[in-house]
Amino acid sequence: MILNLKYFGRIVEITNLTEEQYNAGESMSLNELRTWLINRYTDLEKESFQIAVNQELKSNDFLIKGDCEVAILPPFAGG
Amino acid sequence: MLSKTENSRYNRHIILEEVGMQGQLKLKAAKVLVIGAGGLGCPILQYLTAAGVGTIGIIDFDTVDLSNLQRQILFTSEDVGQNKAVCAAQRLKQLNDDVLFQVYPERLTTANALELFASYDLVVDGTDNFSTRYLVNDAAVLSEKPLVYGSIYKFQGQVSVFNYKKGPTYRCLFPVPPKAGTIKNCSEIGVIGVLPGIIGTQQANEAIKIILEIGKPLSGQLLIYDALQANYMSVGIQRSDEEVQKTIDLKERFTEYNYDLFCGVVTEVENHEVTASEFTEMLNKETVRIIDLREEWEEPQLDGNNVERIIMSDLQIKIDRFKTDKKVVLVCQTGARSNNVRQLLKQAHQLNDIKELKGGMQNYGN
Repeated sequence: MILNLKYFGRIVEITNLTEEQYNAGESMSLNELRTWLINRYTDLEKESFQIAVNQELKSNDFLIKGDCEVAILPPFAGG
Repeated sequence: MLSKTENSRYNRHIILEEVGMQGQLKLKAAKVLVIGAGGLGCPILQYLTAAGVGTIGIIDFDTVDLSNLQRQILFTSEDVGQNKAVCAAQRLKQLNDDVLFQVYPERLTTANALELFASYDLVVDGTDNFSTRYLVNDAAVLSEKPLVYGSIYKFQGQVSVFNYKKGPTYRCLFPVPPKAGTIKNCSEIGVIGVLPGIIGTQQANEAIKIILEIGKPLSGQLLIYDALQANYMSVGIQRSDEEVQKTIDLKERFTEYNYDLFCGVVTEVENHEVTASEFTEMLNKETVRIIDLREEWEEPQLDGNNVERIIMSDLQIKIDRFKTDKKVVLVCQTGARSNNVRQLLKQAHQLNDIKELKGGMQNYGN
């Protein structure tokens, strides 16, 4: 399955990309995706972010089973 | 009933089927608290005032800085140095004098939040740091008020409505605050000036929809706007009873809860204040030195075998007198001078164990 990863806010400064594609095999939990992201971009370990799959926020045990859009969402503090 | 001038002023609302006279009266009856009169606060306040919201509370401790004027559109060059809440209310009165403005030129804290929120129907968050955002969320949950959330980062913004009819809260979206030291604010990273205008205006729109009970408030949805790509994305969010319960569990100890500690802004609770009863115990104690920073004429006088006086103008020449093996307690009239001196001794002289009398002599012995 193909994950269309979209990065927001401070995350973009670490990935240096606003989006990328990842061929993630047959299925993957969000916990596994977090680990993959942190291995790929080590500075992400310090960051706090939530993950939305196909425009729905999901918890870490959620299992992705097919092509989808994945948004990596950090909180913003500014006002 | 609306007056004749109100009928004219709000005509474009009144002729809308979805608003009408009833809707305009709802706006007039509404009480909205806006937290922060900065980048988001300015457009929020401007539109709520123009719309004829009857009572608007404005809380901001901060003063206008020249670098704010690039985006904080209620202020002018002449306002630099003035309190933002006071200044915003002055400007907004020129726009619509029908509105009752309650001005709070102070910091929102756990000590004042619940009492403040109780006087309003709806809270709009225009703050600029995580500690206050979690504080605002929890106070809104504990006082059962809907919260219109908005936040910005460089060219992107987030908008949502929390705690609306049992919908999700800020903690359901972001249960864990970012790690300390990783987060900077607008003053350190920059922000495109028009962005808080766009996000704040959307917050004002959500507030007005909630008051009018029309349309679909942005509850259960996080709207993300990207000003560079000119696109919006909406993400569904669920209420987490577990997260909401964390806030409810805070109820009994809310006033003592340290949001800076929770968000890692400070790493330990600084216990540098001495209460009146602790202070009484310390008077005449040989192991303690009490240093009165006040001028000789200031009342009430403080007597004791271990009390000495170092007035502010003598501070630098007598600095060595603070360096002692004994426990040092600073005293002044209100706690302001003692706080300044304590910080100075800590930063410039590495004297980390100095205490001060909480609230100064004004609070002692009365």
